[in-house]
Amino acid sequence: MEQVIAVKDLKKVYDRTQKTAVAGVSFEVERGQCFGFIGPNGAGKSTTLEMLQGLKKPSAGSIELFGMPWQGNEKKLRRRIAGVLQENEMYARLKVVEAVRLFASFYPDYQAIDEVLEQFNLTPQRNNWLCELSGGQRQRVFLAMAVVGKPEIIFLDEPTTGLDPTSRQEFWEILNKLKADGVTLILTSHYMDEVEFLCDTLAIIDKGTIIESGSPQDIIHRTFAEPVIKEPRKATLNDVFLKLTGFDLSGGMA
Amino acid sequence: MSHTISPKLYPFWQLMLLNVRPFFREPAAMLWTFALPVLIALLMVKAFSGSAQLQEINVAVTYNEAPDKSWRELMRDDLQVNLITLSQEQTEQLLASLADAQQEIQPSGPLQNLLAQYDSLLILNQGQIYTTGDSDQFNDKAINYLMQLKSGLSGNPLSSQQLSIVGYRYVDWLIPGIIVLQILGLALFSISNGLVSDRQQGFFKRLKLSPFKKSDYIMGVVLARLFLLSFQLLLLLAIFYFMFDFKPPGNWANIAVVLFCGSACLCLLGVLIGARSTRVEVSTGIANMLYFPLMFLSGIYFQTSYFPDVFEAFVQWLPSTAFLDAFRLVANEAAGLQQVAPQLTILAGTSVVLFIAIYLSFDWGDNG
Repeated sequence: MEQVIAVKDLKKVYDRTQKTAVAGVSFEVERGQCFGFIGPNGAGKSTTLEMLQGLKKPSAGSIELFGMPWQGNEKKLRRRIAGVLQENEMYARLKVVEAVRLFASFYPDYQAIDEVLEQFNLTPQRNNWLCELSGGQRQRVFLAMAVVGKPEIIFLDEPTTGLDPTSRQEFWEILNKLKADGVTLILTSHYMDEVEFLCDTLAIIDKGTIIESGSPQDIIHRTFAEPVIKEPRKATLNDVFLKLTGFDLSGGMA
Repeated sequence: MSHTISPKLYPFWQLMLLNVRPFFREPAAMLWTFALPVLIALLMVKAFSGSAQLQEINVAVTYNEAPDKSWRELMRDDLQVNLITLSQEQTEQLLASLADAQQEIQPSGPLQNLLAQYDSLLILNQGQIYTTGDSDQFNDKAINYLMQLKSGLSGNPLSSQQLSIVGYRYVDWLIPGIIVLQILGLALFSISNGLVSDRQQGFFKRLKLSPFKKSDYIMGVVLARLFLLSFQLLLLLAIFYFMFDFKPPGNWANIAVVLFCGSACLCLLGVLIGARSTRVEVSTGIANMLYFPLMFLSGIYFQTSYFPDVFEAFVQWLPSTAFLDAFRLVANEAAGLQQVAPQLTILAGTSVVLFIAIYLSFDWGDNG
């Protein structure tokens, strides 16, 4: 498989606060993979993702996308990647079709807008304003805005946070289709079921470093090699997360 | 992936539409951005351009039957005049005071009580008129009015009529200033605050993730505002035309060119204010810091020729001054574009500098 992302000893220290957000992470991602980051709040997931997307400059280390560093290749790389941010606010009275058309206009080669709307089940809402959409519909619009430029890598920063279970399921189906089409997905999430469902490879980040990585099943087996769980159920990624980080995602220390 | 041939989309056009649409879809934006500024402009022109009505003239006559009886009767019957006859005691005190000091009196007792009631009072004594008000303009008008009444007695009434020369009236001079003031306000506050709001919503970060061109975005924002301004200006000019008889002798095409160049320059200034601000409080503070000096230094309310020479030389370089000077020249003095070339050069040069500054300093959410 072709390697599309290579990260080596990536570090980020914020100048103003001298806080180390990322303390040296290295990983590689292959084309068509879904690679996920999980970790507690402030662990460095979003900072790593923003450095990968060229939104923040690393303090040290290297990032290569498609074998190219950001320095000197920004224009080429921007045409091949896209991102969905945590923030899902935009012009309230912008129509769905207008939002997708706006982002299509930035790419020399873009997917037909009607086709994208159909792909994301947004055809009935094409003339609705963004403020009239549900959270799930709005998040699908933001994904459609990202996908319309035919990106090879899509970065998704906690894309289903705040969505109801049905909307999350719909969103996962769409991401799975994109993955099947050969698009590489890089995802951060707080939801264990989400990364378990979507990700081929996972990295668990805590205090700016990767403390565990591999496929979800490999991580579970490695972490719970011994039958330490007394409950009559199989270990899940949530168990792994709690054991490795000591954090309960629903509210602080476990 | 699709094999459909997609139509060519122009990013700056899409970005311009993005900035135009909310104004036509948001009733509140329509009200605050269009209707209210137009109303304020009308009120300002109305307030500053009208010739003041002559207030009631308070005339005090001394007890000793001065001035002559027929003039006194005419004043008593005139609705514009409030005739007050001083008592003997007041008259004596007044005459004594005037004998001591011709220009400054320190009344007391009944005279003080009387004078305290009026901001302005004309006192008629034998062959003399004293005035107490601070406004020379009012005093002159009031004395003229009384003299006209008196002249009517001799069978030679004076008539007075103001001659209004279109293009040279104060209102013709004022209207371009009010229009520039409107553009300045919209550019500095509305644009910069809009950019801050976009930044807070993460829109620029979203843009930055795509291969958009910074220049397309800047052009899109400025063109959107110019498009919106064109409606506002057409409405204002139409109202000024019909309500204030504002019919500039200049060429409308030249006026449009000057309005375009000046507005574009001020809009770029607004974009620069919002280029890095992450909070509305900051952008509004910066806009205020620029708005008031530019308003007072640009000759909107009074001519820049009143400034000291050194100061005047400096303010000529301000984009708002160059804009207004060029506007007044092409509108009121029918100047051609060649004659306002210095002002247009200042506007073009400032626009280029602002564009570069925006291009280099804009915070697209990728700093840090």
